[in-house]
Amino acid sequence: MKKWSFILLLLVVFLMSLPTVSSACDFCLLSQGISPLETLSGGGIRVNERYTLLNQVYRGMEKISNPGAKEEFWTTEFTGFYSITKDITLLAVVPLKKTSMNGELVINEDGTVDADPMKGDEFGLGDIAVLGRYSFFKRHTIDTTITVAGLLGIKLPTGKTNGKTDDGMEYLDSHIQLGTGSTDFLVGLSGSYSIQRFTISTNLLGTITTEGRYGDTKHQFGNALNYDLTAKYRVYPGVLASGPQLFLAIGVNGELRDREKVNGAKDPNSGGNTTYLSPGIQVVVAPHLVFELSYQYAIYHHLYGTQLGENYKMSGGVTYMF
Amino acid sequence: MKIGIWILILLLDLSFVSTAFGIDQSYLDAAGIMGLREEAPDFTIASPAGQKINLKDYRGKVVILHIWATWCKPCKKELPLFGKMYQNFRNKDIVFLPIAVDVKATHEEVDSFAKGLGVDFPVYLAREGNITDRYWTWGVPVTYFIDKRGWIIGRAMGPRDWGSGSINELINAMLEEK
Repeated sequence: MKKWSFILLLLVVFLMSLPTVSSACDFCLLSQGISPLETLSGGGIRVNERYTLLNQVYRGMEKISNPGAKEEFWTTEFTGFYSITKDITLLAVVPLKKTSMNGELVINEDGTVDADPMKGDEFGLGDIAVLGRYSFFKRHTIDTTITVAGLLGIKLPTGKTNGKTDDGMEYLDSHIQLGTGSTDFLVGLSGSYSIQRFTISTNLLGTITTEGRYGDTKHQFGNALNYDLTAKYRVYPGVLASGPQLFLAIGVNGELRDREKVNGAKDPNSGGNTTYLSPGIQVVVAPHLVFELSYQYAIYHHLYGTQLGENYKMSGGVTYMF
Repeated sequence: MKIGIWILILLLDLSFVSTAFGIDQSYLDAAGIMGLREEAPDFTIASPAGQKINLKDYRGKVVILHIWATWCKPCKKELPLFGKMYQNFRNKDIVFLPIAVDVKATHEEVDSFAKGLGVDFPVYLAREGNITDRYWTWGVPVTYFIDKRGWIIGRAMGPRDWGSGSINELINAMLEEK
């Protein structure tokens, strides 16, 4: 009975988060896809490569013709983690980013859209984040495990915010800059329930932003809520021992973001909600070495005003635990 | 008067809680054993002599239930260490149930494998009984510490040094329980 109550609680938390959706939670859990039992003790490093493509335009939930705007992001994330006690883990996330735009979306007063032939790209260090996670609830039976953890963190303005277009005439859009220029605060909650070969995990991560700057413009990204609900099944082996393991996963995740502020005024064409369907595969090659591949296909957009929306994200990662 | 009755009920309740779940957690922590509080799912299994035995038959004794397999590399290293523990406690009120989860090997092959590693305790084969695979959900080797009441009080996942002092202290504490 208690098992079902907990599953119900996870679903309720997830459903409550839906109206405020956003993108997959990079910071939430290293335990996603990794055995939640004892693998997180000690320390380790994770390297993750992610590609994101935006070349479709949305007005609210409606997809409209793209006049020729495109943005691409490649992010290499180095995450170090270390458990100072069996319940408290510290994490540091250092991203290297390459951002690129080829055509900027222009929304005219009559609501029509054009593309400004603006081009530019940036490469370098993004915003570093430092986080602490506290597992405040754990319950084990012989074939089930429940863990619930809280997370607090801070994202520092270490990424450059004065990148210019290829012709050097203008500053690139805030999204194309390597950093946000602001110190942001992160607060999250995660939970997982494993029963035999099946694990369901959920993560919520809120980002509370502060005002930053790009180029000569005061700018503040909207507060955001990332959510994730992932189910994972161990396909191989049937009986677990020291050999490799193969997991298949399917998740629903996304990001809800409030409108941005530019020089103190809210930008009506910013913020909204994108939801992804995320199949993935994970291979535990050895007890300390884990590979992951996932694809996030955007299945639902509800963007405020008119905006360039995400098509998909692809990511691959390797985690090594000391 | 009513308050006195309530205090008595509370004290009785607390005394139930403190004894129902067995030994002090510190013994488990010292031995690096994860604490569990669950009645051990019952099963019947054939002894090497072909006799049917039931886990419930061992109520009143400490049971060390060790799940392993001949194909499991860590198990191969661990089984001789498990033998050390068996030697330390063989004359005590304790039962060792090393159960192999092999699906192909015969009982003779499993027995011969164990003897080849220098162990002299009887080994059991899971498929010669009805033990639930819930016991090896998180893999093998895994060892359960079952108290005299038939409750699992701890679980060791992965190989351990079964001859260590902290393990001996844990088992002694379990044996001393009424």
